[in-house]
Amino acid sequence: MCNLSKNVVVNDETLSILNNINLNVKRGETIAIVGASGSGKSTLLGIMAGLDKPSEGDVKLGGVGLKNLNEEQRANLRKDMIGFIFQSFLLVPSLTALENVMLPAELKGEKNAKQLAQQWLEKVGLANRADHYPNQLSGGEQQRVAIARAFITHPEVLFADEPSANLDTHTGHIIESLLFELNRENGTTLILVTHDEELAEKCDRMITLHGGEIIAPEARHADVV
Amino acid sequence: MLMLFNIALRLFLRELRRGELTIIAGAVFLAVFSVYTLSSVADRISGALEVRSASFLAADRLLFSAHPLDKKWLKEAEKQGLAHAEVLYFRSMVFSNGGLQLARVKAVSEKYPLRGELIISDQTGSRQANAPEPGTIWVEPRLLSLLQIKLGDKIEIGDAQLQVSAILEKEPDGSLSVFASAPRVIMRDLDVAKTNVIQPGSRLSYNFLFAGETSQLLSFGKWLKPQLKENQQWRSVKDSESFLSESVLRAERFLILSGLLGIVLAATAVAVAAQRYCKRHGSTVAIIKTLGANVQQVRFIFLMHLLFVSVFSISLGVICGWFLQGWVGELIQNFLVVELPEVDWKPTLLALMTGIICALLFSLRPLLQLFQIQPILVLRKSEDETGQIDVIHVSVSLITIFLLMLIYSGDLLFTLAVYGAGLVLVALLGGMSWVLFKLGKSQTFSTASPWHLALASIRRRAKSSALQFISFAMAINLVLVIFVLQYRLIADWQAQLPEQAPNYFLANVAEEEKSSVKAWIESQGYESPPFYPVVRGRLTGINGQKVVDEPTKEKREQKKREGARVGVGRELNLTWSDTMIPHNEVIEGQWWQPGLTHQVSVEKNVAKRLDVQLGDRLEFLIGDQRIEAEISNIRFVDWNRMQPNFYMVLSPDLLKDFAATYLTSFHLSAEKKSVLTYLYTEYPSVTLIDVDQLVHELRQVIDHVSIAIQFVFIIVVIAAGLVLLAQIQASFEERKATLVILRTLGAQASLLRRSVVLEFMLIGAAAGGVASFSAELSLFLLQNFIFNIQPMFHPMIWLIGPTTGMTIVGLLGYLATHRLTINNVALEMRKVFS
Repeated sequence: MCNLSKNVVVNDETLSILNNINLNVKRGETIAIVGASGSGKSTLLGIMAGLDKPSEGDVKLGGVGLKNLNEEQRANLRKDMIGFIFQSFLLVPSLTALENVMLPAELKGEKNAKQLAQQWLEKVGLANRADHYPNQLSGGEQQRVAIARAFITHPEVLFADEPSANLDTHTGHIIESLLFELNRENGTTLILVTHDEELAEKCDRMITLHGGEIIAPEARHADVV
Repeated sequence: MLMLFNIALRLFLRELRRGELTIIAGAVFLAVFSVYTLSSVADRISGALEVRSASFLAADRLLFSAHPLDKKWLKEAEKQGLAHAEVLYFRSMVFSNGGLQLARVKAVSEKYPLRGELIISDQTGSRQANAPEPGTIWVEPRLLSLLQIKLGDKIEIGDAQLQVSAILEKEPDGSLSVFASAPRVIMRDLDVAKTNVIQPGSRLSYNFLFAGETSQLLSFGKWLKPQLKENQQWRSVKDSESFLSESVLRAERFLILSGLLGIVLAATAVAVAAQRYCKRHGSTVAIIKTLGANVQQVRFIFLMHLLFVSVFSISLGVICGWFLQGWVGELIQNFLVVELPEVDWKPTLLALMTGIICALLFSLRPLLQLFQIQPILVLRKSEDETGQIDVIHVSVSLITIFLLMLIYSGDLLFTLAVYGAGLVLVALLGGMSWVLFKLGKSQTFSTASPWHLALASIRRRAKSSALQFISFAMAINLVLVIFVLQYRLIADWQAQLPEQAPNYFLANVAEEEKSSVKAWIESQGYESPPFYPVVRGRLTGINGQKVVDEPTKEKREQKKREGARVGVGRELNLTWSDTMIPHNEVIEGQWWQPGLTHQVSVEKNVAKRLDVQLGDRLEFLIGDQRIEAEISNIRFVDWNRMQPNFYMVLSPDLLKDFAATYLTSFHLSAEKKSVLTYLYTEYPSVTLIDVDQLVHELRQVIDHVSIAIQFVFIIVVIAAGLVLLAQIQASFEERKATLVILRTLGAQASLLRRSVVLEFMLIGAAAGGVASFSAELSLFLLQNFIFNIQPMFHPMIWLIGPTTGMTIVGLLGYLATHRLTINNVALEMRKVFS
């Protein structure tokens, strides 16, 4: 990620959301982006994941620059390389837990999407809730379904936006452990946005954003940019 | 592709089961169902009505001609598969046993009548029959007493001797004129030549009757019309100016109008539901796109949804419609004892087209917006677009509604008129709602009482409340319009033909017989009817200029073109009165003050034909005396009323010294019919005209029409109810989150319920009030320009509108809210915010 900026125009006024962000994330690395509300964490996550476009600069994912890709190409890239976990789970309300997990695999054209989804539900401990709809599941259970959905396509990068913020402390810890465990098993690069210092501590690296700028890139166990 | 199809199918089935698609599927179903039911039932009823009314012509179509037809025309009719019969009318003296009487002769061909019943009675009793055998003749009963003959006797018409083989009880195409005082006889066309009464210059008229399928009739009519001469006319029952044709035309207009309004209501429901559905699916599309679905995949999934919803709803709509029209058809058939024609392919085609157009065009814009949803929305809170008016969606919806109305009515002018008026109404409603909500904005509300909560909620959702308000008002407005129209039409018909409508006319009552005849009618237990004096006279001059009084219309027209003043071409029945004739209406000038002399009142059509104005002077010749009168007023005469009516009414000073006979009409119930023999024998010179059968038949037709329009009204009410429900459900989703939060904060269920019900009641009452105003306006336009009935003010709808709006909308709101307030709050929280 080099010289990344994001500006938005609100009521004829240009607001700078992100300013001159430079960051390099290695394959298999876990990285936490922390900062106060409105510091630009989610915007940065969206741009890194190809959900949004930067105003300036570019993001390269596996050597592919996202700036010059159109929405279709970015969608294909997300399908092949990226997994997501969201604070509000974002399951499709009209599909069961099993069907939600199957969805990315089916979009990718995996023939055995159902078996894969069943295996992943088993891994997250929800095999017995496969036929339940999201509103029949607790918050923790919904987030476990979201984790299974994120891993089913074996993404190279997993983006997590405040994965435990909507959960109580105990459930939050369970979800965090599950996330890190599966991440380790699959060798996925994990980029997570969080308020939670404790969760950020579990990552290899922590980036602090303030007013749209990185103010404290802090080394843990890996190389620093 | 198969995988995507599976996703689409799975989402569809799940959403169908969870009720996500209920509104849109229900709305498309409603559109298809109502169009199918309305058009098939209306088609079947108007088909039956036409067959029923056709009996008044004794055919489906009639070719009137002053001379015989070119034989190749009849051959062409046969080639097109039409049945035909011929009727020749002329007047002739009938002789028997030294007596003679002028009769109206009707010479018919073998197949007469093609429609309706010809009833005769002979020694064997009453029966239905076709034409008489050659050599025989059927006569009206009064001819028997006038000529003092009996069944089996012979009578002479010209050189032919014909045996009276039956008495004529009822002829389907009998004269509607009470002045057709000469008795009717029916003979065979084959005997006409033998009579030798037809000479060059004889006044004859030919009716050629045709019957067959509508398509055959239309095709033959198309072939025939360019070849018709001036004195020939191709007519259906609708072309005459009779009470019947007016009724059939008005009923058809009503059915089409109600159908159109039904479609507008259903279409509104589809438009509301489609937009709602797409808004609700914005986050699902964002999630799927985030997971890597490209636009083609999203498009495929949701277009498949649309296809599934359309196929499902359209099929269900047609199937349910088919069952309902079958059931209603049977009900009507049993109730009216009438054979309804089978339903054909047209309603199915119309319903399919409606379903497809509704599903496609109303969903197109919201779907295109849905496909464009950006995946980043998963990370951002989506902007609240509640109540934003999408100009393109509204425009596409309006065009679609117009298209549907045009397809349904098949009449561009009619559609433009109704649609244009509708647009003006919507604009009016929009303006009114803007003012209402503007007024409500200036206040601050607390959440302490349900009233405050309700008002605050209306204010917070000003735009969506305004939309709701407009659609509620439209739905109530349409129901009010249809309600009043059907009531007015039926009431108008019933007023013209009340239960006690006169069914007998007495003409030629002499001055010295008047009081005893009057006493006799009263002795039968009936109120004494008015007796109108009648003096026969001829119009001879207008403003001192002599009028040309040619007997045929063609010659009069020719003279008129040459600049001459023309008369009416025959003697007139003149009456006098100091007061207005009941049920007549002065439309120009004023009725004269009693005592004013030399005045005349002229019927409006005759005034137009004679080209006369108020103040013009008319000269009449009565016997050998001339009288002159000034036109003091022009009158509208309702000829459909079974009462004596006159073209000219003069002031008493002019006529009272002439010898007059009297004319009256009275009602006699069927069981008392036998007492008429007394009249025949006691007053042989009095002419009794029996219109009982005619009144009975007209009343039956009115019953058919009334049932048809009441049924259509019910369908429109159901359609309007469903629109209200769709709109309330859609709006309910919007307020659910707020209610859940208030509930979580400790608001009592009863408070919330009352606030929501009050909110709906307030909107419903206001919408009902505005609807009353717009309904009054629509009714004025419709009565004036479409139905040709006297417009009037309807105080009732100003009461019905707001109260119905408040009750129905409040009740539907209560039912929708009830579900929320009794459920588990935690579960609702999860549902709303997950």
